Amino acid sequence: MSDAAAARAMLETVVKPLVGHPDAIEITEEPGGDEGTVVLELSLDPADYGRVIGRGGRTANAVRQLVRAAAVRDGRRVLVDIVQ
Amino acid sequence: MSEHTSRTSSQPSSDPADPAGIEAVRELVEGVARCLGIDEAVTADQRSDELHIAVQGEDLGLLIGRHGQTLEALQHLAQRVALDHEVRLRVIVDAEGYRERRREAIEAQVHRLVARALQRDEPTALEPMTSSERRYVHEMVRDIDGVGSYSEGVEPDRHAVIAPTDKVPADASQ
Repeated sequence: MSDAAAARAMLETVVKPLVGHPDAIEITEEPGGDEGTVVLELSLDPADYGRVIGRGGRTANAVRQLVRAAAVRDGRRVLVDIVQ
Repeated sequence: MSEHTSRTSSQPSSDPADPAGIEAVRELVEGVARCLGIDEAVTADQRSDELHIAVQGEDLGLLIGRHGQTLEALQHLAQRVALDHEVRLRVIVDAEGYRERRREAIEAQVHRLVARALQRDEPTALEPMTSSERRYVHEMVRDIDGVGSYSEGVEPDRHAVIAPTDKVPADASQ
């Protein structure tokens, strides 16, 4: 059961076409510190981190922006943690 | 210019891009729209060296976001996917004609602030804009005599400034 189904679907949708190893994408859901906050932990093939983070973190910021938009539908604040 | 005409093969200035690559970009935008609960048509259209991906329909505020930030983020990702597929076009993602409306608003603002900068003989700041909107401001100002432009501030408050040519700082960046 997911508290952040829309956010999670968004994260998967935007990360998949960016990576070379889509099968290695893992998303786990953790409760955040505050009530109503969910943390999505994103784990990737080691070769793909640079592609998802991007120059100056710009791609990671774009991914987070889209996940935030989807999280509105979940009624949650959702953070994305890219775990290396 | 907001009409979606199909002229994929008739542009002399660039070759048609790989259809599979274009479809991958279109599918990304469609997938993002679906995740936001938007079940509308998404079209892809190569115009010269640009790839226009347009989400049709109304009530697309969630896709556009505050100051267009969500649309800008999606455009960045779409550009990345395009380059990964060797589609060397500038990708523009649009929602319910938002780009055209913004362009008109920005053109009006530039004309107003060029007049003010010249009249007061001092730099005049525009409202905060996304990077592609600022680029459009700089392209416009480049064609106007007597003024120059640069950007200052930090995202999301970074904004263009229009100044009389002799008052553009030497170290200014766009």
